[in-house]
Amino acid sequence: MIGMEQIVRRYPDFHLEVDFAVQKGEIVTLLGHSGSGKTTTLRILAGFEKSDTGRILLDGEDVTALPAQKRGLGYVFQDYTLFPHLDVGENIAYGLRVKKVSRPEQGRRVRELLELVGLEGFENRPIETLSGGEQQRVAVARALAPGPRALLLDEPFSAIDTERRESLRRHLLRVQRELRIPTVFVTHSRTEALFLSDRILILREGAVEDAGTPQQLYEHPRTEYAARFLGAANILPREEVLRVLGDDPDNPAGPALLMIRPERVRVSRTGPIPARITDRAYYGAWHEYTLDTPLGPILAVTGTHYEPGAALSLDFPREHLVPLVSTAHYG
Amino acid sequence: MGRRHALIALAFLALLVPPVVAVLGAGALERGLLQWVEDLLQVFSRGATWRSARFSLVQAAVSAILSVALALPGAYYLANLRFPGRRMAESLTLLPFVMPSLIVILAVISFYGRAGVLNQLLGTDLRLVYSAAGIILAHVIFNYAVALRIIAGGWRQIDTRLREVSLSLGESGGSRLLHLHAPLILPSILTALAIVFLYCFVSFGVVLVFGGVQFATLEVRIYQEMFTSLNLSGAGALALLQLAMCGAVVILIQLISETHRRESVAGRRTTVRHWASVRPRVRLACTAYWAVVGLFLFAPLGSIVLRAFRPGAGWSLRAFQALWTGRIGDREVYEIIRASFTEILLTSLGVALLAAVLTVSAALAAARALRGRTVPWLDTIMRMPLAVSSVTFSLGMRLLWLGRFPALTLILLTQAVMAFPLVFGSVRQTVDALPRRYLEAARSLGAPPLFRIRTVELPVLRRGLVNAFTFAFALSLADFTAILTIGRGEVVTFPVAMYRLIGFQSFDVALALGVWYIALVALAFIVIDSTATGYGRRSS
Repeated sequence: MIGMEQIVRRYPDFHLEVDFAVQKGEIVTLLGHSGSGKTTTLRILAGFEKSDTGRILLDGEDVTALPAQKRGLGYVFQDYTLFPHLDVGENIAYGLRVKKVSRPEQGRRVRELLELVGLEGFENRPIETLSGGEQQRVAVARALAPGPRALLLDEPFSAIDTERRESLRRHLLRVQRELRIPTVFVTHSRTEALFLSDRILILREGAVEDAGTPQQLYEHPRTEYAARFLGAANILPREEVLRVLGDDPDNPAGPALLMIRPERVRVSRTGPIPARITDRAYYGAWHEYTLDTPLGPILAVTGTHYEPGAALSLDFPREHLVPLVSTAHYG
Repeated sequence: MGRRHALIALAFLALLVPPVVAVLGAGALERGLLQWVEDLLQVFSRGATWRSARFSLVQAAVSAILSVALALPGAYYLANLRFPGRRMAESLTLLPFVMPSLIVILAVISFYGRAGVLNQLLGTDLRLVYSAAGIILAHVIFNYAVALRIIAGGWRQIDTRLREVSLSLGESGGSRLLHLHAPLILPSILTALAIVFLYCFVSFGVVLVFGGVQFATLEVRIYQEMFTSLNLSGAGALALLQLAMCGAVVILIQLISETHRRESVAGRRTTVRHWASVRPRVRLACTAYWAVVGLFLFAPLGSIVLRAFRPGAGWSLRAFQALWTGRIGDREVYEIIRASFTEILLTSLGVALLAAVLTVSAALAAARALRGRTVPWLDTIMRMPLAVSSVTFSLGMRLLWLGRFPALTLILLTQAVMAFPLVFGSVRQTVDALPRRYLEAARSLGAPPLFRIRTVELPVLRRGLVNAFTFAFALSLADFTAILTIGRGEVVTFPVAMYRLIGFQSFDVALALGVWYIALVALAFIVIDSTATGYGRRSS
């Protein structure tokens, strides 16, 4: 288990405040735009930066005062930072050398890790001959070699082209599941976060905006910001929605906004909300329509083909209407 | 962070300031305060003082402009074109800069002098040497490499992709040079101008020999006040004036580097074009350029060799034999030098080695403490020795510490302080080029501090550190002022031996010693340079 307890770090123009724990075998993602504090959080966890207050716990032990080299955490940097003067095998064996592991054992472990990351036979390759994806896998192997207590990944896919990303994501997930190592993953990509995580923490301006499993966060986000971050969302004033649907606003003190994902909007010829298609986009497996309604423009996704300008009706299934805390006041 | 910086600054200032103060204030102690002030006023009211100040400024400015102009194309070629002999060109051009001023003086006289090689070849009677022109000529030969290295360094920082962006936007070559490369390279040019200016401003040996009574820099006037007029307060006053003028230039350098400081961009890419891939016209221009520079720098040095092997009318090894036997004709060479050739060799190499280790270690420690941080005031302090003339500083070290510490220790410290700005600049650049992330990666893998230094920093920084070491080594080997002023003639290195031989009119043996010196330094450069390839074991 690795965790941060009431960690606070103040900068002149930035204030970071986080509190979370990652259990054995779990991947927790810190998701946020740049400047949200996600990398700083990871660096504090690793010991590269200090927090002003709070504790860092590793398997129940307080490691806040331990320097980075004594924490035993594997760190994978955004640009991998493989040592340029060492070859692949020497890079992976670096942490084993630190631990004074015998040469033959180092060699055995390097081969084992290269097999794990799918780079058998790469021991003697110079770093500069590797592709981005290969470098990333070597960086992961290097971080795993000394048997870390947790794995910290700082945007490990950002330098990889889109086509290769998916296979690398699957690969990383497989390695992590196999080792059951607690992992903290930092990214700004919601696709990566949704695919890889057991839990996601959305960071905004140094604070946790929302947290939960990918499904919880996508389907039942707590705030407007979280709802928009994780995907397209129709966010509407609650009272108007209930009025148009003919429902009673039973709890007038509740949140003022309701959200419905475009794929949950029911598009048909009959329904309570009259709508007209003003724009459409074709994605092969689905169509995305922008519709003009009394509630304003609504985005809907469906497999059915409609002509532009077609007069349709919409319905919002009640179980998919999610009350949101408005976050407009954040600016 | 603040405390560590303050400690570095304090340690450095504690070494640098007291000797300078000792020289500036020596007159006050000797003559009493009132008399001292009167002496000062008297020095500042002399026309000669201001003539010297003006001459110092003008010759330094002209020398700097000419050095930079000559170095500009070479810097471009070094940074952008993989021409044959590129590494050799970079190493060898540094040779004149690390030669003792005595050797450059001998070289200029034997090549450009009235009876020199040039006049003999052209059949002319050019009188270049004992004039302002001779001074400037020697300064350009001396400082060409300084300008070359600084500007080439700047050019190497320019991201190749910027050129590609410009190409993709359809910009013409001329416009690219004017609007893209010129602004990016300008800071290096200004820095090179300022540094060469400083060196020439405090130039001593060259001006002393070539300037005669007509042309004297402030540095020469300080020397004359001190040793000819025995006027301590006068020397102090002139040293103060010189210090103020140099200080202004150092502040200017600092301002330049601050205004133009750019954070290095992640993913910066620099490529050097292959020789075979450029047009024949470019190859021809590059070859012609290096031929001209080679002649300009090495014909004078070559003429030393020529004359050392032709001590009289014919070819002879007489002068070299004298170094081994200790006799030439009826002269006792070892008695003149007051040391044997082996002793000179061992002393010179030993002092240079120790000084280089001291300088590079100190520079490395300071650069590591400052890694990746911009601390302008501290950089200014580190550059301060540039503003202090070596005559002033050595004299101060001697006045202050001789008797309390062994002369050798003081010599090493003096050489280290004087070489520090140059060595620190290069070490700092090297250290800053290693991103902190690499060390963080090593830390995350459990590596303790010393292990990190041994396994990551030193191997990655090796080439840069070896370069800095070579530089420090050569600067110490060429040092004449500190050795002579502090060593009181007991520590005999190459320059001291040559100085003595010239004093006793043994030019031939001095030239032979000069040849040895050139050969040694060239050999050291080539050996050290070839051991510092890439990251070591691999050559790919």
